[in-house]
Amino acid sequence: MTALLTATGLRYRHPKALHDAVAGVSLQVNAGEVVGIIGPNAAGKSTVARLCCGLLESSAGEVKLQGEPLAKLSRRERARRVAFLQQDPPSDLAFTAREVALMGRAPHLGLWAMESEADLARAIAALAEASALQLADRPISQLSGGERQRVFLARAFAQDAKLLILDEPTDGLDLAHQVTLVDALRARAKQGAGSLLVLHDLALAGAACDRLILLDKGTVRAEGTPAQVLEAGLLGATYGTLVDVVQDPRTGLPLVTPRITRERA
Amino acid sequence: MTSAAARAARASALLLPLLLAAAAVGLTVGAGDLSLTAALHGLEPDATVLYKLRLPRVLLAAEVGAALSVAGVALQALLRNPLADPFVFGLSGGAAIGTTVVVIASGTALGSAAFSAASFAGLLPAQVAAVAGAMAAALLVYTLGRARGQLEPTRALLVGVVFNSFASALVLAVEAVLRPEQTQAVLLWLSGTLGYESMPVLASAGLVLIIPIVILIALAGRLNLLALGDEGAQALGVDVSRTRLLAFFAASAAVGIAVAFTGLVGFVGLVVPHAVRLVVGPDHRVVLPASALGGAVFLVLADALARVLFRSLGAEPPVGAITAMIGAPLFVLLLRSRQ
Amino acid sequence: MGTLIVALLLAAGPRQHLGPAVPAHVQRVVTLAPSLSEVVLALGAQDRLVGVTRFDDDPRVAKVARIGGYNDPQPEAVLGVKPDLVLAEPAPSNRGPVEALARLGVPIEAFPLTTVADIEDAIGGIAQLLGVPEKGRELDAQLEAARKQSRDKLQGKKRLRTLLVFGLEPLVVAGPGSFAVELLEDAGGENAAAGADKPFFRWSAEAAVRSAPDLIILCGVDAPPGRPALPGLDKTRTVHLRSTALLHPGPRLAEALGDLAVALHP
Repeated sequence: MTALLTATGLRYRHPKALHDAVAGVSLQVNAGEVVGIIGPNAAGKSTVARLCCGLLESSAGEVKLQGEPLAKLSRRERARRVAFLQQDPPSDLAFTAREVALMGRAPHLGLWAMESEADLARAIAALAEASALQLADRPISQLSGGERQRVFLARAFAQDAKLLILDEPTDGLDLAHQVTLVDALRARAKQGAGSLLVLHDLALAGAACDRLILLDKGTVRAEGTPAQVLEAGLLGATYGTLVDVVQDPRTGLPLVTPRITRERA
Repeated sequence: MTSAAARAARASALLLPLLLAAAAVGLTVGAGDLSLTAALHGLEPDATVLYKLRLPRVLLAAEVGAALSVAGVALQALLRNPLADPFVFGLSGGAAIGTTVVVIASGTALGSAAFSAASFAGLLPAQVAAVAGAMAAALLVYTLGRARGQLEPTRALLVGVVFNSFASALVLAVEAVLRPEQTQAVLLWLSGTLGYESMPVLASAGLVLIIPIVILIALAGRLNLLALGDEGAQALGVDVSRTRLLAFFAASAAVGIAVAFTGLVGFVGLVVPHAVRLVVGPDHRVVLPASALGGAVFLVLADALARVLFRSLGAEPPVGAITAMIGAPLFVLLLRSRQ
Repeated sequence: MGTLIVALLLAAGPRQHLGPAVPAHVQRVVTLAPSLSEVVLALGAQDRLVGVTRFDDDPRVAKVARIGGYNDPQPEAVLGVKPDLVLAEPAPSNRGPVEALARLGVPIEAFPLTTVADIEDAIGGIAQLLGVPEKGRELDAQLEAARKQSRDKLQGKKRLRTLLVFGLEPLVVAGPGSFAVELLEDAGGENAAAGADKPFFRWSAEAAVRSAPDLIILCGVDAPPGRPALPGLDKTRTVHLRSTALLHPGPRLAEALGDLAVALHP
């Protein structure tokens, strides 16, 4: 069975930058997998995510979607194979949540971009999946940050791509909706879809992902199960601060906390 | 919710009768009293007034109104700025320079040669020059408004505004050496006036206008996605640069054709799309056809008003003055109602 | 030519004198309109003309200094040629610079040029100022004789309804009380734009169609190639005036009368 995403030796330097933001990253996402990318600021997490869905072009290496080189796929075919959720989606839109969810159907529409009943139904289902159905008729400009995030997640779901690449999807989500998101991703994984998440919250990363990739200065510092990657020494060295890792007594999953000392007077 | 196609059809079904009503108003009011029965029975001078003056003028107003409104919608989508007027891209300045050059050239040998070539196509040299000027300005702004190979809305907007100021300075400076009646012709043109074109010219202009309008309606779905930002649109399979380029030049062509016939009729491309969006929402697949019809209604009525406003004084203000007089306060009202 | 239109659209005022008194022997004259230059030339005072507008196209003034336009005479340029008399047409558009010149000590004489009588008065008045009154009377007499001859010759002939068009963008036509219409009537025509009350005015295309003219005379304007001069009047006979005489309200009016007669009765 071919992987949903295979990236080998990716390199990228931002215009006018002195160093490569991504310096030889390889990764893979298989069907049924939820993979997390973690790492300190400027480690190249978002850049890797963009390289993997073709929003940025890698200067070396190759990205394959379902076994076919991304460079050889048309833009629309790429969009049918991978859905991307950008960080901080636009907030000043007059479009309603339903209209935004429908935009996810764009790669499947014809020349005049007119949706069928089936597309409408798919958008509604996606809104429900992202627990944003009750927002359907509200304009985006009137939504809170978390509500907006859910609507754009629905847009990504509506795209019906096997692979989801989500940049900070839990940004602005409250605890309950973080859980809903993870549940939705795990449910999709059961049906053979895969997800690649860029995450800041290491506890959430440990709980949500099957596999974690720790990036540092544009290279892969470690890769493996959450228990392998979320290791106090490794994280401390990568992030440059002391961290504590304890085991969740109930689930056995690693819990990461930075060590913050409060001086007592 | 009904599909975009159904909503577009519903908006058109509502606006078409409105356009017919506006045309009826445009045909029945004018500088003098017209007996419709006399005109329909072919009695002179009523028949000539109806068929050779009012009908071509109503058609021209409808075509220009549609062109400016559709271009306004497209440019607002491109710039992600609902306040963009079709003329901000430097188009008005370019057209003004083109026209002024023609006015100066009239009389020179080279000028007359070019004039006879232009008139061969049924167009006036000033019209050809206006379109050429507008397109050249569009190209300039498009080139200077790019950064890292991408059209940057704010940059393009600024370049356009600066270019327009430069152009009006140039025109003002050149006016000092023009003969007074040349100056008057340039001023009249700059203020936006509907003239009388022959039916074949109107028919071909209408046919030519269909091309950019169809291109823009075909791009409507992609224009929607541009609202998500370049990255958002690209992630949905949109070739952002190509969409921008196509929409930009389709809109410029529409504006160029409008400008060729009427000079600078302002506010149509600003007010009509705004009013339409207020009613039908932001979906360009509905907004574009509805704006085409709405723009036609607006300019036909504005022109009818221009013809009767100072009728007792025997004078007629340029239609551009009317659209600005209605447009400016209406625009402020629309802005306030959006909040 | 356009100078005329703009001047006449702006309803000229009565004859005026500004600034100090005109010296008894005028030696250096500046004119602020081509027709005034033509008056000076016709009076045989070519050598006293020291400044004309940039619109003056008579070959006899080709070497005379240019002092600006009709609406924008340059006071500096005028002072530079040291005139002892400036001839102008009274109009709001040139009032500022003309009054400035008067304040700077230049005598100004302003003559309205709307009717034939105005023009004859101006010729007589300028002749007086230049010290050649008999020449002025002679020019006026010649013009009146030409008018009478034309009227007598055409008595009893059918009068053609004629539109005298002085501007196309916007449409400007001659109305009652203008020298152009007076000459048109002398030449056996009848003004189709008779309803209006102004000597020259902007008109709508519809009104032009309704006036149902038999003849359209284009005065100093050209229809764009391939188009009728007036929309809706493409079947009406249209002639282009032979010379620019009718555009210069001055001593060439007799020539203009001849032009009109040819246009009306080819």
